[in-house]
Amino acid sequence: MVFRRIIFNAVFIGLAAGLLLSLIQVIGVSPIIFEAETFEVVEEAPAAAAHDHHGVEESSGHHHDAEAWAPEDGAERTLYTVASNVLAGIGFASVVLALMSQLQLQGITQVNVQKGLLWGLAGFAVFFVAPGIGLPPEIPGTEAAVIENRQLWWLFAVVCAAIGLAVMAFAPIKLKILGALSIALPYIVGAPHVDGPEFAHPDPAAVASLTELHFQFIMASGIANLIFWIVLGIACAWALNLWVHKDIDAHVSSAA
Amino acid sequence: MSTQISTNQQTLSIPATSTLAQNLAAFAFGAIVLFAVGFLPMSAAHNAAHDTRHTLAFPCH
Repeated sequence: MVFRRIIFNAVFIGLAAGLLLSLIQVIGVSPIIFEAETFEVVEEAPAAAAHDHHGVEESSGHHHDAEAWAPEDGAERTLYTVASNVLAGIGFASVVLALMSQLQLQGITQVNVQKGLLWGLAGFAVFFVAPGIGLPPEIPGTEAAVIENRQLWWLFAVVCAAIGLAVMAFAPIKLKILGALSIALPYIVGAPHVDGPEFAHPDPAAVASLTELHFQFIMASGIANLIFWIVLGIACAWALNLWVHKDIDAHVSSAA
Repeated sequence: MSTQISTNQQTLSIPATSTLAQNLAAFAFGAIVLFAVGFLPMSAAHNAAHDTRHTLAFPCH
């Protein structure tokens, strides 16, 4: 019953948060991605002419497989982005609702809308800030380490930050130092990076433009994620008490 | 398993193990969806979710 209610509510919350994110993205984030991609095309052209579509980008592990499907630029691309945003919202909402539900049933916390705001800020810290400190949000055309290594470190940073924040929020005071250690651990290990310039583009003017775009992108995506997470956190807290734990008494079940 | 559910309509008493399993399942569902959107290495999945991956700061390219 709890499972079914979480999924049902997560679908609606994910839909709302994902559509809101899409709106912010269309206005403030995607234009930066598109502009960065114009430099990516310029970068690719001479390499493609030189030796058959394998050039500068090979080192970053980014392949433009000629046979791979991709949505057409324009409406189709936007549609897939909106769908992906909604799916991401559903995924995040399921995870947040499951954690809220378990902690509340065990009597560790009693969620309300104010705490929902804190959950949202924690989600922003865990999924955007923590991995972003080591691996800042990237625009197309950025030189970066092997994708698998970055994904692994991203996951490591997210898990450590989530455990660390949970320990600091819910554990006894003497254990809180361990929470801080958990948050710091991924940066002690260090994020994977490539040696050399951030952008492989040969033209210094283009590199200057890309650097400026990158700064704009970190700001824009940060604001978009912050709003997305605040809405998601508050909506999850609200839905948990109104729907997911409707007619379930936390004290009875924690005693059971 | 639990006799309390059928007798009391006001407050349902659910065994903690049952809700733990359901919450874990909901958590796993969310994680799988996020993996599909953010991490799936297939080119088509990458291309479809490309702008979302960049915006949410998932590692991309």
